[in-house]
Amino acid sequence: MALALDTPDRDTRRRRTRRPGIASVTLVPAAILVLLAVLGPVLVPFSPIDVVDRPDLPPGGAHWFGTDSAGMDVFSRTIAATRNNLLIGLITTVLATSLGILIGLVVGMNESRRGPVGTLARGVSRALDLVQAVPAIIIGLVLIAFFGASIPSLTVALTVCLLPNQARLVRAEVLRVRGEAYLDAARVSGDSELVLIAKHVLPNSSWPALENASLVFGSAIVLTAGLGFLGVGLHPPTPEWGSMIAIGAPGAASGRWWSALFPAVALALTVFAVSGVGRRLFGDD
Amino acid sequence: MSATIQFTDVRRVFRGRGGAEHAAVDGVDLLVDSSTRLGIVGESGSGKSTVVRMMLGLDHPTAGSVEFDGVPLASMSAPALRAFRRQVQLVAQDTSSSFDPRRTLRDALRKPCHNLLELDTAAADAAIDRTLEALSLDPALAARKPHQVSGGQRQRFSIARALVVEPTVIVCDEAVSALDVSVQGSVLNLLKEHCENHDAGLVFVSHGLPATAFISEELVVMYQGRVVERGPVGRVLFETEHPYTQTLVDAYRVTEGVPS
Repeated sequence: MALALDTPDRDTRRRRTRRPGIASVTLVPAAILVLLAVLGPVLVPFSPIDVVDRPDLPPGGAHWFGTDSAGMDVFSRTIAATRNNLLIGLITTVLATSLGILIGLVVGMNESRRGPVGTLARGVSRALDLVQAVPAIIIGLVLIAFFGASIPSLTVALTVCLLPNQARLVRAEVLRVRGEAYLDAARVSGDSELVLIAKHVLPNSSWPALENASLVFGSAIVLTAGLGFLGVGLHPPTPEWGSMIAIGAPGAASGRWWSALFPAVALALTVFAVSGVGRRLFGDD
Repeated sequence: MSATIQFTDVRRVFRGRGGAEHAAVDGVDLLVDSSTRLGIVGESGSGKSTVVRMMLGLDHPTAGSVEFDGVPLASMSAPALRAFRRQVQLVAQDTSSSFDPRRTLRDALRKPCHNLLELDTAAADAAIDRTLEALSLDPALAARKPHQVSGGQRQRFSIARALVVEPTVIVCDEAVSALDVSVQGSVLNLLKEHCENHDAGLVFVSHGLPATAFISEELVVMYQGRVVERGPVGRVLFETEHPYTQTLVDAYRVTEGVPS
């Protein structure tokens, strides 16, 4: 009886400590990011895609973050890029996680079967290993070379890069859950295999991919910037942090640090904010 | 209502790494019906759990057949399988993993009511409350999740899940092995009373002879995938024929302090 009374109390206490308060502070940067993504392009003082002044002006009253080597306002472009980078990161995360869960579920439930279904599931499992063995940036470069640099093609390329890890996480969990006694109990209670998968296997197996989603989000943003830096992401004058850093990097070597630094800081803060959301939702904060 | 499950020369082979075959169950003939409390006893790895899985249609024989009222379980249609599950229910081995940790105990008990009895939620809840009260469980506990009740309570909920559809045969797979002795006694009494009051059959599978001998009328001894001895409990305990059974009985005498 002691166990029956103690356990819920302990759970309630733990939940209570994770409710509003200090822990919610981790959500503030993410909330600011979302606001910037939605309202940023409207609020910026200059057009983010036009030359607005002389090139290479240092940060000051007229241009808070200075101007880049083309004469575009770095502050306006850094803020406006938030929408593009977050949009690519968000869509990639949703696609990679939902498809990863689906593939992991199907592979995990079928790979020990005999016959063509089992062979196909094992084949998909090995294909996931193969894709994961190739560096993501290489896959991104190849896919964008095929489909061109646009937000949809970047999203597809990054989804292909980041999906295998999500699928493997879910597959491993499905293999564990598949042996749980409550599945047999549900079968004996009359559940069909489809109901069993939807109501028991899916909810109990998808949490590693959901926990990992904030990491996928961060990786997608970093990879978008990486591809932009290499010149195969979104092309200027479309505001995107990676290409902004690439444009500013040569100037930084000769003392014009501002046009590369501010987008780099924005990138770092964004990844930090997104990981804060992950910690808030699944961690011990 | 009577029901019979017939094992005829059942063999179940598992293939390990490198294609090596291992017969978990080998040439087993068994008759289970709703008028008998049958105990199946044997050491770990003797094939008891495989027999249970095949008895419930969760696994199928490599050779031989398992039939319910003359129909092979392996080829049953979905409606026939539902009718079979309505009559044959399981009390699972590991109560800590036999309930979905994300769902409440009431959710788990509603399943057989919805699926097998086709009751709506209100009628299912009424049937669940009746069953829980008969098992001396507070229906309010059903709102909790499995980890929020004690092991003994969880085992009673496991029994309630089986009894709520009023089956004619209850299959218990190591149902009391994980419980402490005092809780074991109450669970065994509860199962025995239910079977006597409702004319239900029982298959009690365990590696422990004392509990099995207490609750069963007939005893089957399994060893290395085969049935090595069977008969009424008294005969198997006191006129032992097989050396393995003698080892089990000797161990029982030592642990229970029974003079030989």
